[in-house]
Amino acid sequence: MNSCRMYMRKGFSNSLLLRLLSIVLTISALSIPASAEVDVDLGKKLFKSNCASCHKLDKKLIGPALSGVTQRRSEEWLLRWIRNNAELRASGDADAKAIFEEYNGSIMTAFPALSDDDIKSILAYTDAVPAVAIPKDVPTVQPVAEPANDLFLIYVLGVFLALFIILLLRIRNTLKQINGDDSSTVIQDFNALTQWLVGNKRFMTAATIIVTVGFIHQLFWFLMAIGVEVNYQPIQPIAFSHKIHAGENQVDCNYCHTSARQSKHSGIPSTNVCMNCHMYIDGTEILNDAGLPKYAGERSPEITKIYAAIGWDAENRSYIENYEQKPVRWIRIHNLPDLVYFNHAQHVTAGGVECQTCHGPIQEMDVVYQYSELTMGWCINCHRETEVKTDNGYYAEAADGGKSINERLAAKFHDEIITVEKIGGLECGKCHY
Amino acid sequence: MIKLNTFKIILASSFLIGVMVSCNSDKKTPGYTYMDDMYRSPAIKTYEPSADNPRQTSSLTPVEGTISRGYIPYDIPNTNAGYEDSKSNTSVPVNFSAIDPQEGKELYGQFCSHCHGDKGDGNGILMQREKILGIPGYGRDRLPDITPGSIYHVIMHGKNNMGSHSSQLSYEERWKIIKYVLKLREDQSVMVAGATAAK
Repeated sequence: MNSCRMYMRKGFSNSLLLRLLSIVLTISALSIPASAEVDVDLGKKLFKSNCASCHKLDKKLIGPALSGVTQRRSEEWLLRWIRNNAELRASGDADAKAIFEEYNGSIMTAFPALSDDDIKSILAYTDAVPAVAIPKDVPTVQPVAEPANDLFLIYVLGVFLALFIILLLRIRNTLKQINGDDSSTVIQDFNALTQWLVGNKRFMTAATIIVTVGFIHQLFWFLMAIGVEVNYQPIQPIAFSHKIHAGENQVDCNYCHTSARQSKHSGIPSTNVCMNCHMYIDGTEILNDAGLPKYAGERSPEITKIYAAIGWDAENRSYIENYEQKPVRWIRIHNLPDLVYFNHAQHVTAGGVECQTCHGPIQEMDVVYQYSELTMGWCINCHRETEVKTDNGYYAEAADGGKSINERLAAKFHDEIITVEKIGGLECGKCHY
Repeated sequence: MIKLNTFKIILASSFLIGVMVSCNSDKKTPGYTYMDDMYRSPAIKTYEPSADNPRQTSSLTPVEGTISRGYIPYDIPNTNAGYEDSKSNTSVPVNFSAIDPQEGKELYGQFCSHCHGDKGDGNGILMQREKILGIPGYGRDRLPDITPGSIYHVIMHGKNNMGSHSSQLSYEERWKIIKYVLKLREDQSVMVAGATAAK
């Protein structure tokens, strides 16, 4: 799409260039016309799609920082360099050779497709943006209502309520005294009531039944919950948010948990997988709610933990040699007892089960918790209800007797839905052996 | 009599309150289990901290020199010269021409598209959200001289801001993805050529 627009733009501006060139020749006036084709917005777009992988404006990346590059080099030189730097170097240009050596012979991609105006637009963009990123217009920061305030309000209300009750009791006692009765304290009233209730056999029978049934009910569910670790949500060593990664940035689960497709375990990614993105994303760009840099232009402390684990030198953008790598101590959440066998590959690859079926709305969790009970009843229930995916070719293959597995299953179960249960998903030995 | 009753009531209600409070479960601990030795065997489990191992964790790196099953050696080094060499590397799997590009589509969606885009135009979600910039599309205008060999090199070693994806993909999967990338490259190049012709 980008490149598409780029080409259309090129065609448009080329014809415009010719016309303007003729005007310039006839008038032979100022060198302003160039600015007519130069479009900072276009330059920004081109910069982001073509240059930003190796250049930042304010800081060295793979190549040099580009802010103010037009002051350092002539426009003509830049045009030649950007279009095809290898050619320029081959022509024996001393500056070109020097910069190539300075950056350890990193080869810059040639951009023969960019027109003069495209390149000038990019250069105009590098000039237009100040080296230090100025935060977007800062909205007045509104103090967020703190939950502590709510609690304080409840306490105040509680105190008022207590005072109100005391007041009412005093009024009642005063009224009693006016009536000629003895005044009584709350405790005395309460005792009188309980003594009447204890003496009442019907009430006591009903109360005993209710209390006993309630107690047994609670005890049953308490004992059932032992060993079920649902909602277990430990604090992990790095504040990794699945909401940001899988939700907002839509990175596929399999990208990091690669082994889920092929093995028993859905492995926790090693830090080299983190580095695939976090070589570039270091958290400096994260903005807080007010639109200001969250970490004041510094790297995110959480991402710095990855760098410390794998030994990445963020200043020089290279791995530190002979670094003693420190594994991140992630805390495992989903634990099945040793008496049961579970295989991820079988469910993810063969069964085509979505991760969310068992792990819940992972893409909305800032801190992951155990969503499912992982009890045997829960497994069995799913095996009873889930239809087997038979469209993967395996079931269509002709087996013994010339009939495909699909046909034989249909004959056996009279065209009912084939659930996991029907192909042996409830047999003990499937999971316990 | 009254005194005793009062005492009993206070005792009973404080016991009830105590029970209710203690029912609040702590999310930070996994809780109790019946017959712990049935649940947790003495064997070290995956990702369990383990004082016996040199790095205090059960997830160890393989012994030096270990070759995983299905491993295909790749000798071209991760250097600029290596990348140039890889362009002329024509060693592809024997069945490479027979691979259907669609086989790599799902893998591409899982491992590449969030940066390089579903269409291979370099406009994936991370680019749209300006998390990672400058991601190339596969079209001929942007990457004029890539070959299957150089795509394989980049998957193995990474390039510029792209890291190595060799640990995430098997040999066969890499070539399936390459086949799909080459298809996207054709689509992109045709689209660009069409746009140029149309003007």
